[in-house]
Amino acid sequence: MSLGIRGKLLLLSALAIALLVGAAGFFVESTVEDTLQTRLEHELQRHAKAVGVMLETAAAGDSLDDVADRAAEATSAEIAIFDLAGRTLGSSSLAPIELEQLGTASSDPEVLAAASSETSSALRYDDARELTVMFVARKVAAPRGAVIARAAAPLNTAHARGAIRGTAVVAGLVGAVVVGLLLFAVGSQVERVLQPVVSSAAAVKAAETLDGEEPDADDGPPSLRSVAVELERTVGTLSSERNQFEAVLQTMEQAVIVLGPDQRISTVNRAAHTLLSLPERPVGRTLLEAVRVPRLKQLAEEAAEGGTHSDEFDLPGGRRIDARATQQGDEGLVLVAQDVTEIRRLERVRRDFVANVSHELRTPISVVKANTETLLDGGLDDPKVGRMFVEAIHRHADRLGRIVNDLLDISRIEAGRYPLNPGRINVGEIVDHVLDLVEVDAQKKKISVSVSVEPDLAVIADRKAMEHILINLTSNAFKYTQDGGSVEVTAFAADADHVRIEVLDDGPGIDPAHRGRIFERFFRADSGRSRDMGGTGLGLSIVKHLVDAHDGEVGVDPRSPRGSVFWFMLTSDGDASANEARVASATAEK
Amino acid sequence: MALTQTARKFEAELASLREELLLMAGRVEEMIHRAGRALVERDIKLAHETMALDRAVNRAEVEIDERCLVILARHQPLASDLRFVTLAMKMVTDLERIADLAVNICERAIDLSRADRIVVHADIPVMTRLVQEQVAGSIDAFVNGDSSKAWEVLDNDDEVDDLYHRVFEDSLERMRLAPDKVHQLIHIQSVAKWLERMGDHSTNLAELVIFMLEGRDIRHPEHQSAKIAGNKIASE
Repeated sequence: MSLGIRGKLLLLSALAIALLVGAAGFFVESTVEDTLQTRLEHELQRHAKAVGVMLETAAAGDSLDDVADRAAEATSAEIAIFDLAGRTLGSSSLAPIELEQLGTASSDPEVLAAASSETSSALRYDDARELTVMFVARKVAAPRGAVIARAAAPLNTAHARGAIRGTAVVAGLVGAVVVGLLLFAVGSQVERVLQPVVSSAAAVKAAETLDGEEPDADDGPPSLRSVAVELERTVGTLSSERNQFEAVLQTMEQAVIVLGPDQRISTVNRAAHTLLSLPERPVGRTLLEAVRVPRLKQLAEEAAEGGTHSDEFDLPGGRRIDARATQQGDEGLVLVAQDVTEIRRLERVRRDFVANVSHELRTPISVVKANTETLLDGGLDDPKVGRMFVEAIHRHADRLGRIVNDLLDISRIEAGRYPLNPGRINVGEIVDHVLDLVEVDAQKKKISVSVSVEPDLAVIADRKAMEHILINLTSNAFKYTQDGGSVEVTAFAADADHVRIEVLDDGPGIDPAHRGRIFERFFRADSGRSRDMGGTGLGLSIVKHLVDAHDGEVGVDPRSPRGSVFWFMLTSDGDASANEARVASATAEK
Repeated sequence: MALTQTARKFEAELASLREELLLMAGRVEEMIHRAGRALVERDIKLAHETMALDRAVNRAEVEIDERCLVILARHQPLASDLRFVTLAMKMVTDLERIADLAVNICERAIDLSRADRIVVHADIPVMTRLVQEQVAGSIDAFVNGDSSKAWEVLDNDDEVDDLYHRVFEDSLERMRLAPDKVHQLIHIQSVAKWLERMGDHSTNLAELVIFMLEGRDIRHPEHQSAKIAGNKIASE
């Protein structure tokens, strides 16, 4: 059985009132009883004293019993007189005959105590009268020696107690009525406030299907309980959705920055940290504080006016980004940026390749065509002139052949169809062999060639490929070194597992901007000049492809004060400890 | 209530001053990067575009100066606010100088791309990147209130100086080897000199930031000790 809120409140307050009134009644009762007892004792003391006075003034013939009777009459208390041994000499409650029959001395404690200590009192229950009687005994002087006068009167508290209890009951009832009324008023007020909550909770419950789960009746009103369950479920769903969103955001390749309505960053993802080099804690900062890129700020400002705006530009670090900004109503602004550096580079490579390959092929073809036309137009008739034209045709056909061969080589290496048979190659030996092949170019230009290769240095590589690499690099060096200049070939252990081979020239060097592109097909740092030198524009590209096929590394560094250092690294063949020792001694020398 | 409103207005003015200063710094950083690229890539168009940015930087210098004066007159800021406003006034001067030097580099880039081809010294792009990092470091120290970053900028200045000396020596050597390129090599040497000057301006910026954050002036230590001694005598 349920009591309802108001019932419970009423029961509780009734209990509280009962306890309160009971406690108050008990306290008042005991206080009143104490007071009554003290007052009665004082009164009886006075009566006992009065007996003493009456004994002093009594006529000579008066018996002590008469005095007691008179005193009882005057004081409306029971009076008895004892001698110091406790024998009853007179009593208002006993007739003289009864008195005489009373042979023994009194055993009442107050009488005995008063004989020794002037005065004493006691409370005793009188079985015959069924009430508590107070006795006060006092030693008084009498004409014939000291006696004990005792006054007694019933301690009548029952009346007082009844009055107190009656008042308490009335007060309790009045209190209960008042509290009941108050509770009723407050309860209605609370009900009015709670009613909409309860009914809307019930409505939510009615609207939601709770997949069969019955709410537990002990945990509160069913509707509220179901609202709690629903809320918990909603919060759970929201947080899991948020986690999913966070995971997607963080794994995105594009950099995302969200600006709140206060123009401060509210969210960023990992890619934004990397691409835009954000500070450690960007949230809460303005865009400029986090990314000092005016173009990005400008984009955000344009987007704030409405719509989506995009722009492509370089970051101060050199990366190129494609950025897009969209204003999301009043919620804030979303900036998305993508790194397009590599895409743009590849686009340029492809564009340049198409332009270059057609240019490279067209030149010899047009020479061949023009010369054959001349020959057909009568050049054949003049053997001297004819020979000159045929030689030119031969030269350009050679060039065309070289370009086509190089292109085929590259595509074969790229397709993995360039047969590589890696084996142990002594570096000193292969360098000498290659220099024998190409030295004729150096001699023509009076270039001094020096070789410095650590003894017993060996790599794991394909002999043909290694020759190809060295031929391309050394002939390039001879091509770009001025007459009378110098070229140096060095090889040393770069670390325990790698050998580094360098070709150093003292040519014009390569612009820093071109260094990254020099290994691209047909890329020419200085197009006019290198074509004059008879290059196909594919030599370095082949070198890069071959070194890559060996899992090696290739690069170009500037040489001080002028010239370049072309280098590549291959896996060494030899025991690692020997190489380590070489590296250590080289470092020590430095 | 009136006081709170004034305080709020003051806060807003400081915040927008800060934003303008950051925008100007961002432009200057961009100019250094672009000037360096225009030079090594022989990109005349990029050089002209970069020179055009200088106008915005000059305008920002004037506007920020004016804004600072207005704040000083209207709010009479104290302590760190006062240091910030005076710092902003000094920072714009250094930033504007750096932008001017970037313009100089762009002019040389145009000259060099018209002259006979010459390979730019390999250390020039390294210097450009370093200087750009130095300026960015000073501004980052300012934004993050991180004086250790500013001290780092001061420590790294030597690296820029060393590179300058190397470019200088190498240019001399190259002039000796190729007397016909002396004209272009002098241009390249000037570029290195300007980059070195930019590095000096970035250390000025770092010193200002340290002053703002730590409240102590670390410029010209030899005069500092004299000043401190003078103050002591005066206080005695």
